[in-house]
Amino acid sequence: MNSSMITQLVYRDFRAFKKPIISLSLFILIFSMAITFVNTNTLGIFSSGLGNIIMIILGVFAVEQSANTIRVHTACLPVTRKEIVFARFISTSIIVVANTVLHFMVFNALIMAFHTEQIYTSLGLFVFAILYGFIQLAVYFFVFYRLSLIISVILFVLPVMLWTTMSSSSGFLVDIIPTNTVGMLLLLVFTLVMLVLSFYTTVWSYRKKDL
Amino acid sequence: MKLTINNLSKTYSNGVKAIDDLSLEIGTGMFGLLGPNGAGKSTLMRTIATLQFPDSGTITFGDIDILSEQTELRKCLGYLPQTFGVYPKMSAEDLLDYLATLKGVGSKSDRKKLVEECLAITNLSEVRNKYVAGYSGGMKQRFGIAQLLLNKPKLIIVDEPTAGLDPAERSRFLNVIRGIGTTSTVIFSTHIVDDVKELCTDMAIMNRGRIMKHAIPSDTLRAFEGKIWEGVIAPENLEAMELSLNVLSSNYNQEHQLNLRIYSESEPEGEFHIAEPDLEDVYFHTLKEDELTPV
Repeated sequence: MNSSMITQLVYRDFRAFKKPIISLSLFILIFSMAITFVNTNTLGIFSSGLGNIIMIILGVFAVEQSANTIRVHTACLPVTRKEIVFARFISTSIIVVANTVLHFMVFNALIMAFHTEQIYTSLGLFVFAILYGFIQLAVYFFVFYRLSLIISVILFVLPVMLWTTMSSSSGFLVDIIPTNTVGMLLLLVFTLVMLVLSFYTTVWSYRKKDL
Repeated sequence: MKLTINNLSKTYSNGVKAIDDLSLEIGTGMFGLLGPNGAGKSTLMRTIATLQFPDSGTITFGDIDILSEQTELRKCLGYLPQTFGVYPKMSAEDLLDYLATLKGVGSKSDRKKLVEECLAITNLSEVRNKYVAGYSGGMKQRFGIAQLLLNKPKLIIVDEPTAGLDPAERSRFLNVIRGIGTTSTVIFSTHIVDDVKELCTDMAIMNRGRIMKHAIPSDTLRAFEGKIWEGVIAPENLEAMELSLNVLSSNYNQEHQLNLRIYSESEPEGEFHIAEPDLEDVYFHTLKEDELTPV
């Protein structure tokens, strides 16, 4: 793969979609923090709210998803479809990681400012949140490079929201996985398998896709 | 460089046969591809532009096998789709600069010079700092031409670029295309016959996924000389005329009568006089012949 082309495509994503990325990230951050701090189970709601980060990606790249002409324009450049998918994997991964870090920083700052509780600095929860973001990303690629925008949204958003709601009330996100080494390792392996599977099947299908 | 298409076929998953065993050779210069909506022109254009994949057949451009060496072709390809998609908040200058980078122009000064050149060719220099998304339809199409010129393409594909443009924009656009069509192979797909008449040195008429006629416009017009007849009839007589004569086109005049153009090798009955053939006659005659041919 041509790394300079990939770098340029990643750069394109942040340059062309700079405003939607910033505004949606801020919106999701404010929304997540608002619902976190009006609840009593602060940490549980916060950790499940991390699932909303994927909505930034959904919102930002929906323009491209709905207007095939922009995809066409990239596909005519001297890049392979594999490089196009890989570049998008990189840029979306950066968005997921950056927003997760931002959420943790703001959450802890708010805890410090308004609550008497100790600052929550669990590395387990942070790693878990990142892995959770990557799992969602894997599903996003699996769905969005194959199906139309509307079908993708239904297939993607509903299960994500359902799972987020369920996990916030069960304590699965906060108490079970992040504190369990075996659980974390299994989740890491699962995430990697999902990402690899999603990447290769997406490349395979996108290579054959008529634009 | 010559573009050679051999036995190309493409059927969509819904059963529509968009390209049906099509073979075609296109040399340097402006090539017009005429056809009605749904003829398969866009599918053919997208297949040549490596955006779609045929079920069978081969396409080569010079030494490049387009179906297996897609990236090689894209290095010398300029493609302008029917509607040119742009990013929401980027100025023409910024977008061209970025696209030039992706097309392999590494040096910043080279890019600046190239972008200025392309903006000048397409008369967009004055609006270089405006967001492309805010351009009018015609300006966007000219921007589309500017972006395809960045890599100095040898093969240029423009797919129905004048559809929806006002006369002034259309004329401006055709002038730009005319300027670039001398050194490259330019495939210009359209359903507007006048576009081909004004621009192209070679043309083909496509219908139902097949090439019905491939000819040089002046030659094909010569072949129609003495066979096109014109007359004026009352609208209620049209049906009867269509049954007895080969009617190519009928248009209302200001007296609410119909100006009829017909194809006939000998003088037809009625008040008809010989007319100068035009490409529209060739187009309608070819389509009519195709419609009479069973699939």
